[in-house]
Amino acid sequence: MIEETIVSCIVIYMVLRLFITQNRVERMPYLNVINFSVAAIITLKNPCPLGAITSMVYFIAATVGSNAIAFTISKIKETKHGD
Amino acid sequence: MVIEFVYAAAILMIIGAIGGLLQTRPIDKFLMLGVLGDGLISIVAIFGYLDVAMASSFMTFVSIIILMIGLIRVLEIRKMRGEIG
Amino acid sequence: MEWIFLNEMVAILIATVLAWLNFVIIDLWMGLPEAPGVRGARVIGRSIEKREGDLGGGYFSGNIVCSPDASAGTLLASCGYYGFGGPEGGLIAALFVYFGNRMCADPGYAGTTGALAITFIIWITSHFGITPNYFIVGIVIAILTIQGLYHPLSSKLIGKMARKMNRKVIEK
Repeated sequence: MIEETIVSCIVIYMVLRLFITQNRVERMPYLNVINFSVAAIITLKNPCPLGAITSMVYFIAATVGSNAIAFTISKIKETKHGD
Repeated sequence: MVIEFVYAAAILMIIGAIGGLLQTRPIDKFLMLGVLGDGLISIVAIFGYLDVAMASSFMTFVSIIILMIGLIRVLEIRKMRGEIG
Repeated sequence: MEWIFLNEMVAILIATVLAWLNFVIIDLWMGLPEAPGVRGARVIGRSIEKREGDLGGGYFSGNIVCSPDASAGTLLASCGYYGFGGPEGGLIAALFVYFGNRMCADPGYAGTTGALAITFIIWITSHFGITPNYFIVGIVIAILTIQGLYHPLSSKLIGKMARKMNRKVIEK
């Protein structure tokens, strides 16, 4: 019960902070914290082996997707500034 | 009062959708699409449909990769035509 | 508020400290603040340096975001231990982290080392009453303190610890 409150408060705080900030690159670490906490939620609610496997698949997919978003942001900065 | 997981997942989905509506550039919309996808996967997993959550997370990842390839291709074509920089 | 117990809070605190030490020390030892592994980490490191942070700490945060490292290994190993009910969950998590590293084109072994180390730590402390679900909450709180609160301050702390372990920024 205490775990539910802690993880849910972390998710709500990070989402509000992500919505408010204007800098594009500052949003990436906040998205990473959200990925960690959603992977924790999946396992805490389903304490069986399939829950652990689902959490691992979700986390690896979310990390590679976040890598793709950061790569595109770096490509956009390079195109605009001509580095 | 205990803040349960369902409330956090619902707020993730609502703010992901509203954020995707209010942002103007495509790269910011992709970030909000990621948040919306996370909220959807978590609400599906909380209610116990684990195989749906696994397939949905894989499809979100593939769709983000395909959208990124498209965006980079559009930028290259615009740069070749001389509309940027 | 009858659902708050003191020994649960103490267990979560101990698990947070153990998980924080595990992933920070293994990542610093594997040389994460030295160079950006992939292109996305470079833009995150430069942005943190522009906002008055430390460049080594910026590359550390960038490598955590873009590729599975010891923090991912710690989280997935605790999830595996909790779901499978034994140390075999930690070994399966190390396999998944190895696949994730190769998918991100990262030739390091930081994730698998972190997963195996935390499996050993959980196996020891589970005899004293700290079950793996406290470690899951602990690693989420630990990653919040590094990446969620205030980037310049946490990057300066990581930079100071990196210099003490002789890991300087090699590549710009």
